[in-house]
Amino acid sequence: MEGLKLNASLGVPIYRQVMDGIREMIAAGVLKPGDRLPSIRELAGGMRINPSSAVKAYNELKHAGVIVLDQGRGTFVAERPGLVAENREALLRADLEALLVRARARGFSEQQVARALKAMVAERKDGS
Amino acid sequence: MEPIRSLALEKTFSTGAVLRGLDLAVPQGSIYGLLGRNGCGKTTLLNTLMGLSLPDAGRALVLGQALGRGCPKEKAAVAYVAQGELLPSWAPVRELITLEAELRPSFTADGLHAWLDAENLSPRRRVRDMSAGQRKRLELELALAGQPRVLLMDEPFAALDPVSHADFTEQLLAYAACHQPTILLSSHVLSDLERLCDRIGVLAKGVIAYEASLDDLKERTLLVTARGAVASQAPPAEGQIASYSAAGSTTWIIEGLQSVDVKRLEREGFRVSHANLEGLGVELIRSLDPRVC
Repeated sequence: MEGLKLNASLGVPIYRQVMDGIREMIAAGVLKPGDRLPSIRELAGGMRINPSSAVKAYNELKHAGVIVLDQGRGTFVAERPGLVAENREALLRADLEALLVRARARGFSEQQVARALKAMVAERKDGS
Repeated sequence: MEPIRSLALEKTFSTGAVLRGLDLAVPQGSIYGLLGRNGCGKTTLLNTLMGLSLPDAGRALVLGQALGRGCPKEKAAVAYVAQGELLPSWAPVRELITLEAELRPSFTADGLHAWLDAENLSPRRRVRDMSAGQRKRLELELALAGQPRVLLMDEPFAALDPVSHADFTEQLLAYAACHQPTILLSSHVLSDLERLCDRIGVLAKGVIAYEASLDDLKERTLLVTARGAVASQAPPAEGQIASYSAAGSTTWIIEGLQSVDVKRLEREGFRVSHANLEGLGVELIRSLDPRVC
């Protein structure tokens, strides 16, 4: 699947990376409502990931209403309005989580990150 | 019963005990990565499961059968890509295809022919006139063409060039997505296992000393590091899998930490980070199978 970037050696399960990647592509408009998504076979083969990771990602996205399974026809991006707003929040969360993971790996505590973020926001306010 | 199962498996060679009561269960449809140091018994385990080596005690079952003698039906549904080169060097590719097609009822050579075409290899080409990488790929292609329900592979990708490796992996995973075979493979290449597998097990001291789903490993396992000298070597929290010391710091591999524990540990000055297989594998294997140099 073009545009879907995975890093198998990241400390984040591959199914979560697939979910985040698809959400991101929807939010960025690369994937539009009604677009057909690759089959499990195409996704597992094409991205070279374990099929159960692909199945798990699709199941969770289906559960969240992001994608729909049309029996016999395939898997599609959902048509539901409000999806984009929901995605934006999910994306922000994912970005912040990734930030925390990286910061932790560099030896910062969550409190330190929160303080730094707060200080940065305050600085920007002062500047503008 | 799981398609690949061993129960209290024991095997001793003149050089010593290799398998010491090994229990293994690979669930239907799983791709299971077997890790461990050289000489830890991975090949012995695979050979025993295939019935090529008889256990001293315990049982090794594939598709519910001990594959020693007989079991033609089960054997037709099981493929083994062993270590080294086993194809007869004099054989032309097409004879190997004919042989496999006769042995395996669901043999389908489409993928194999697509590969031969892409490599510009004639079916008349003999094994000995192929490169080492091509010979290994041929073995893998023959195994997959048999549409196995169970596939065992011992260090399967070591000889492949990067493109062949990527192409075969893609084919293998597409096959797995369609047919849900049960796959057990050994490899030292942690990044391979990280993509391919849903479960991994570490063989150390004759048993599966650690086993986990890769998602669990990433979601539930954390590395807790104390920098500088630590007052005690006791683990800072429950759920320790292993620990190791290097360059003046000690790291504990800990499973199932809650976020309150993480916060407490960080307050106490520990560094807490997520684990991936590449980062974790080496230390996990080292601490489960320590060998003095």
